[in-house]
Amino acid sequence: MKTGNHRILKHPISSQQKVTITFDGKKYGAHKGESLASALIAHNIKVVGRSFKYHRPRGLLSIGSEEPNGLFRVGTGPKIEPNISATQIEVYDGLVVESQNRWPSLNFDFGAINSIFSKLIPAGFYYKTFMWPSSMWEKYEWFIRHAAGLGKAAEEHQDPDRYEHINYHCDILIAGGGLSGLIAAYISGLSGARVVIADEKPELGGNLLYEDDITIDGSKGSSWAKKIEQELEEMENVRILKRSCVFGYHDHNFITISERCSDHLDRPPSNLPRQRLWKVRSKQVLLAQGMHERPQVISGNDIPGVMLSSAVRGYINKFGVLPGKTAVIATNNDDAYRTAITLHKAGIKVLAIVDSRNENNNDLLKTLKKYNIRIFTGHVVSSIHGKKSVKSVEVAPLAEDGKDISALPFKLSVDLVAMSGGWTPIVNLFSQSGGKLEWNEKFGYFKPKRHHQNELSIGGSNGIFDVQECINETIKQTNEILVRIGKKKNSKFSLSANFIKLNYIPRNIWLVPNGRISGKGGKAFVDFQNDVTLNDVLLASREGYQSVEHLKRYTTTGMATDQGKTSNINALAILADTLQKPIQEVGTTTFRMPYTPITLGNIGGRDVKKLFDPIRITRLHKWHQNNNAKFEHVGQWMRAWYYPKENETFQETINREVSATRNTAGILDASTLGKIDIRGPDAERFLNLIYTNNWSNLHIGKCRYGLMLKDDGMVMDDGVTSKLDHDHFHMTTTTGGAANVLSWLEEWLQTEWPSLKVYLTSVTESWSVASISGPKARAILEALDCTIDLSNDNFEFMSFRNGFINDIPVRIFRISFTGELSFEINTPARYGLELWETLINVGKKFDLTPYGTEAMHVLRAERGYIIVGQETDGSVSPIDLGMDWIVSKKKSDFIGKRSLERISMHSINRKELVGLLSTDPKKVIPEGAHAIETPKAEFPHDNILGHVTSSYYSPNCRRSIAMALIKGGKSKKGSKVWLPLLNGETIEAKVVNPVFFDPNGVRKNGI
Amino acid sequence: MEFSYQSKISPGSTTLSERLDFENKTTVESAIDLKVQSAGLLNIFNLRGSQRSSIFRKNVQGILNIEMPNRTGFFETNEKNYLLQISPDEWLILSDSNEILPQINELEKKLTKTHFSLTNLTDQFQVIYISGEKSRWVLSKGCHIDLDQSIFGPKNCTQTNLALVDITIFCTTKNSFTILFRNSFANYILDWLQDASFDCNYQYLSR
Repeated sequence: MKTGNHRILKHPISSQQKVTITFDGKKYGAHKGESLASALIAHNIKVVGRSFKYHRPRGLLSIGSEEPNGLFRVGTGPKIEPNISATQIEVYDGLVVESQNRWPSLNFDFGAINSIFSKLIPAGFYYKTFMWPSSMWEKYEWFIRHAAGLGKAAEEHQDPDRYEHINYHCDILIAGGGLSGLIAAYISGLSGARVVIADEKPELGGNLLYEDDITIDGSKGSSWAKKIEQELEEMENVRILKRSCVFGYHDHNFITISERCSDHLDRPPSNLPRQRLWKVRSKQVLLAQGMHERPQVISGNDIPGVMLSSAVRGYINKFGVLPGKTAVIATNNDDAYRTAITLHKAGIKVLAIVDSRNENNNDLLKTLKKYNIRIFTGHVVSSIHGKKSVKSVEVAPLAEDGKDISALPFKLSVDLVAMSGGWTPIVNLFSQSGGKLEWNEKFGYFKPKRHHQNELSIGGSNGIFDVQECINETIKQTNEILVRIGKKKNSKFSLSANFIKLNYIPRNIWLVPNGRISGKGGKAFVDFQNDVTLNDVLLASREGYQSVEHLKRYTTTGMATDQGKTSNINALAILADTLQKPIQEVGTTTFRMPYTPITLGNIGGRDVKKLFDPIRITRLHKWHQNNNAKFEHVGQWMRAWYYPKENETFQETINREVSATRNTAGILDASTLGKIDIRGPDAERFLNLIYTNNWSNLHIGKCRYGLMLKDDGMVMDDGVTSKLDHDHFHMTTTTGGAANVLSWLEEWLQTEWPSLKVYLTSVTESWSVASISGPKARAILEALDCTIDLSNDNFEFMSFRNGFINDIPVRIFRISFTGELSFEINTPARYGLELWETLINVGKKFDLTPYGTEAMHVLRAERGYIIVGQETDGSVSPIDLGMDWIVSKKKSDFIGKRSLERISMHSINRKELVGLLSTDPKKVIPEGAHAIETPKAEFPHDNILGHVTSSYYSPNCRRSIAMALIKGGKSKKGSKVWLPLLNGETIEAKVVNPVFFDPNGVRKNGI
Repeated sequence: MEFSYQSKISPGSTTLSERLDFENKTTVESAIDLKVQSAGLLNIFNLRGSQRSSIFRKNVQGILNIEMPNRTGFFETNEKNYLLQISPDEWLILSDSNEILPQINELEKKLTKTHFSLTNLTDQFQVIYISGEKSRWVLSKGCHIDLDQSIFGPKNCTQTNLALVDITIFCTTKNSFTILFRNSFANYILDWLQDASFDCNYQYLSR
């Protein structure tokens, strides 16, 4: 397949393997090693996309990641990815790309009608147009949403690719592999420092790859870069990351890099991820990203065929493709003269160089004279004409002040405009690092001024143009960095460059005049990707959006995927010009990461699907699975929820499990409860400070329930703590709160009470816990070979014993969360399954029933026991819960004590825990339902008394029961409340005590 | 109210042993860049105390017959036992021999007069060995610390994360690591390791 007619014969790229790509359904030939942008130019494809708002035909503007126009939808099926820049897509055999934002085709786009109505849709039109009538907003929104955006994501939403993250540490990270980056990496590498050099391109060399007129140490720039790259590859202490964009600079020199591992391969090996996110922590960072060339804001500057001058040169030199046949150069600095030379050598006719400056470089003039290229100094290309490609330009002399043209323009027929509006150092990462910029009036750019982190900007990023100066400064700054990290500097290293002397001081004409009133004539674009014109910026300024941040948001300048790489300075300068303020007073907007777009997959990395969040399981998990348990998430734990038998409904299962526990015995896997070993001579004092109740009188072998408050007096956690020895306690916490409680306790110990001699150790998973509960619990244990006397007299409620059950070591706690006679049997986790199966086997003849967390909830609610996180939400005090009995009046201090004494804590309007009984006993009130005072309130949300925290059907009470937090609840006992539901139904309920079963608590000792 | 652990060490049925057996059958390549192996059930004890206390140091070193590490992040071994210093006043004692149990009992008695804590965490953790050329590469996919050999080499230990799980890790030889994590995370850790090692020739072995 032909690889395009617009190629330079015998260019090295022609010897590369031929591949076939598909663009908008049509197949084209290309060469491996070139970008999609290059391949499109080779086939003389001028229109590569449609603009965002006006659907104007757009061609390629640039050669790098700053490209605003050439965005494509790449790939097929679920691998489709939108908005990828053609300049960054490497061609491979089978590459499929589609143009975007057009219908039905790129050449005929119905959306281009927007251009006709463009006067009706200037910047900010949607803020004005869609304000009335407000009831129509949802209709407008539908259209806006459908019109918005450029590319469309894949229809199939399952990303089949693999992504991963890598953590990496180094001494020096170098962002950018151009001339400065390579020198810095080389010197640093020789010093033995651990170095990372990352560049977004497939090969190192930066702009050296695009130029043919730079010689370094006697070699052509690109050859020198290749040689250095090879030497770096041999250094074990240097890691080269190609196709890797440094996209984020975070605090503490933490850098994020997105590596494209297999996007460029037709058949990626199965052992490669698609993309890899490098999380690099570097002692020092060298920013060597170079500069971006700026466009000129000329009428018609977005017509296909208008390109950045350096890009034109790059396409010809690097890829051997010809972006046009007849060209004009529009410039305000010397650099574009190099493009004229390159174009001439490539056989493209250069009709003129139009230079806004009044004087130019004599050396260059001599060279160009040989080529018969006309030079118009003090002139501008005042407007560009054409539709789907450039047809002609108007050239006019500038008035002295540069605000207007001084004579009528003349026309040149060309199909290529190579423009240069000056150069801007790439300072995005520097700004992200917290560094401050300064405006340089001479060169017309912002450059780094005040550093915030351990970094230095080198080369172009630091505003240096001259190649030799760039080399010398880079060597100097790299040595400075090496000294900072304790390495020896390399004083002997030097390089000499041979490069034509250029004058990069531009004559900036921010609004290029065209002989009409400012803003009239063809559209002059400031931000190509977001379709922001000169008129939009002027309008915003007139309408009072005079802060650069407001301008950005009102016009959307700089907010597209290119982050305004080609537009920011022009927009700022035009605003400054309009406001008649110096640019430095207008300032810049904030540069944010990512520097170039990265995929969501890359951010997610490996934390997807089953690795999204760890699922924790107990040692008994398999048993639960084998016995048909259904599971629920409790924190990260997967807990057995209920064990349905064949054909049993959820409610039938819960009723069976709850009834069995009350009538015979039930067994629960309670291993997930948090457990903390507390040890030290001050352990008791510590507990007195942590819990609300008194721990001074607890005897060894006894257990006590405790309530933990935050310093605001609100309930944080609860649990039973047992005294193992005079200085040794075993604390239990809620399942979900375990980690937080341990951190909380450590924080207090380490920061507030460092003098307390207490050590904490998490032992949550050291123990498997089988909680056996019900009237026959004791009989079941007695049927086993249990070394502990289980009688009430010798083993009281709220105490524990150590012993053995069938030779399995156990610690049994006589504590109960069901209100029944209960034994919480703890055993070292290795015996957990053995113990559980032993209990189940013996328990069969006692009708021992395994129950899950749902039955546990019903059983505890029947007895009115709270669950932290269900009856509490961080705004509930012990007084609200009716648990004043556990708040010591005698203790001098405990966490939250002071807060409990605040007047507001005793307000009659605080929500208090009560029970609710629905008038219809079969009606189970949904949890979360809001309670109101009157049956049919007109505005129920004004009369909300509180909400239902727990609600179940209780088989033991033979009716529904609920707990709720109700304003002044205790005083409302006996009265009625109403609970309106989303379906329009309202449930009537009576406020009662929140204890529904065994009100005197007699069953805990057995019946 | 002393709790008596029985002396028998039996890992019983753990996620790790079952999973690693299973994985062994799915070995994909003969060349091994990465090997993941269950350590079975090790005796693990958490020791807290003050290294400034001469009684503490003397007894720990004397009874365990092992030098105390110089500082946090290092461990010492006498080939039978490992002593990892994981914070300024915290150590982990690891041993795959039951001979450690009477030593622990003796240590407990000898330290009674000092402020200390000695907690049996044998059942709390699962332990795996990871070794091979690619071990550092795979671990760095989930581990935030600097795993370069010059920074984290033999004799180094630390508490850190592997992906979303807290771990304790120590480097025994050039590219060999022992990793401790809570038992409940075993499934996640193995799933994660399997996924993260997809670019290596790998093998999972049970001990």
